[in-house]
Amino acid sequence: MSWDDYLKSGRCQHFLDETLRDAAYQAVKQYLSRDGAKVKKHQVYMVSQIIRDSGPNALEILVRNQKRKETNEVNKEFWEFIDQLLTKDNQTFGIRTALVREMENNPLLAVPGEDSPSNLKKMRLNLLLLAIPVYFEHFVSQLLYQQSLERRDQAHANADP
Amino acid sequence: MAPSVVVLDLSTRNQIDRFLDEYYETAQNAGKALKDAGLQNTQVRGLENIITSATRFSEILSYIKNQAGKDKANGPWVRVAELLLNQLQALEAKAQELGQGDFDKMLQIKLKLARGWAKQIVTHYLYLGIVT
Repeated sequence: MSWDDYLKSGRCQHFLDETLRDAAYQAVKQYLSRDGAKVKKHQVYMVSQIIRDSGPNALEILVRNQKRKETNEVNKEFWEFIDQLLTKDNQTFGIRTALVREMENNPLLAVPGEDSPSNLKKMRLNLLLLAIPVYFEHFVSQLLYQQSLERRDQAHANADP
Repeated sequence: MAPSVVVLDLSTRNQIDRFLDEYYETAQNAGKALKDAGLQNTQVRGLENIITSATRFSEILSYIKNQAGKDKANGPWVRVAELLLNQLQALEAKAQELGQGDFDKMLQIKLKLARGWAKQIVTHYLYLGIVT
């Protein structure tokens, strides 16, 4: 099956719509369970903005720069977390773990008779570039939503006599 | 790249319609919730447009969550988001049941259910604008 055929397949849509969503939502849960996970909205918006403005490859550069220059501990920890989700193979709910599982479970992504290491590497890179905007769309929206619920609950608690 | 569009068989289409009929009262509650929360026509139309144009079901979820995320602590989107998301979750569960593991079919069913649901909500929201 060609890469274009995979892109149009239900399997690919399922990966983007559900598999990446489940992983991203679990990653948000993981982040929010940490002490001091109080990153402000504008830092979170930077994740989706850089992808929108400059493409999926730009996120890794942004993360590297933010980790290096941030002095605020909350922000620094947030960017460390994003870095783990984006670049580490051993991050359970990270994007690379989801990708590896998708490639292992999906025979459509193996080119019969041509599954040389370089072809698989190219396929993995294509899938990563496809997945990054979607995974972080799920992550950002879920994080912002959970934070909005916290603000709502806090406002109710403050309003109670 | 947009996914291939699968033509749903008549039996599946009938099941979708039957479910939307049964779900009508629940969807009306969502329309009322949008009205009570103070969402403006443009905001409700914006939601409808997203649902109509989405090629992925999760685009709809992300839109609602982003709107709530931008809102103040007791803003209109924060007040309705949970209800809308719960109803969308029910639609997704129904799509998974009807799709029976066929990913192409499940995606089409999800989007068809969401669009039918959106029409019900918006219609009731607009109706309340006239009668109240």
